[in-house]
Amino acid sequence: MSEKQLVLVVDDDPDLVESVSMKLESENFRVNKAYDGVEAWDKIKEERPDLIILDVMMPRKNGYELCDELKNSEEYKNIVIVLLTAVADAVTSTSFTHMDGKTTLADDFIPKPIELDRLMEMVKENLA
Amino acid sequence: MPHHENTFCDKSRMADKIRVDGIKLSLELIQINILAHQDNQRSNKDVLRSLAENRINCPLIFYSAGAHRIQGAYCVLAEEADRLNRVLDVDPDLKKIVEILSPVGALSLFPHKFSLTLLGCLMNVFGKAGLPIYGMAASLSALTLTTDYEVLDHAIELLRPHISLPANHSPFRPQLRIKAI
Repeated sequence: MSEKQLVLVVDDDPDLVESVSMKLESENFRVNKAYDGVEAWDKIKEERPDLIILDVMMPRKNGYELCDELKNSEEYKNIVIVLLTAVADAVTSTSFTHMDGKTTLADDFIPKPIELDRLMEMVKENLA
Repeated sequence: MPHHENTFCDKSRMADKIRVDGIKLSLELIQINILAHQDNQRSNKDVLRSLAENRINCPLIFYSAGAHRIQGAYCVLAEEADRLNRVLDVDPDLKKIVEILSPVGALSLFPHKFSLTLLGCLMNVFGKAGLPIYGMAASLSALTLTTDYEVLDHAIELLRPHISLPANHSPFRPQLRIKAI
């Protein structure tokens, strides 16, 4: 069993998934990838990640829906979720209310375009 | 990990399907090719400037730079056809240096993992079926080509025997669109 922490990267932009994954791997994390919320659920059931980097706007199941489902699940509610959002409003660190009025219980968020170094700091802080 | 080198879509090696995480198809596009020109770099800049000034978005750009020549091709959404035509009509010099292909569509496979086998497979499948390739490019993750829009679904059917996709993969066609307001 590997001791490296597992991060699931979920975004419908393959280039963003790849760049974030490469950075995470260079920082000694293991990475799984998914390209929408439905695929992400499959990957979570296959192997529970320690942290999920989750885009908001995706086909089939968006990031808000997946985040809500995970945080309302006894089994998965403790997985750390970092939302990727285009909305950089001032928000608290545990609850996100966005322009469309939706609120999620993600653990953290980072606005797009992503600063990879900032994202890595955030991942490490949340997994410390 | 199966070794794919030099087995481009060989039916005797069908068990060694090339694993990709997904395929994406674009919306209907217009491809603007820059024709051979003495000052090719300037031509590319002229086209890009005109598109930018008229706020015509380019969802796909092919760009290659050699020692003395830059080759560019730019794709815009088919729904921009009228605006694009207006841009070209008022600038005959620009119109002379471009070739318009329409309707084209983009097919992307990801991640390519720098696999020459995937590239060879695509070329082989398209070549054998006589499907045109108008442009090809790689980004960090995706290997993308443009072809006739109406053959995109057929191309996927031809590729399927050679490609392994996740069971519950994302839809090929775009489900979301972000528009500037």
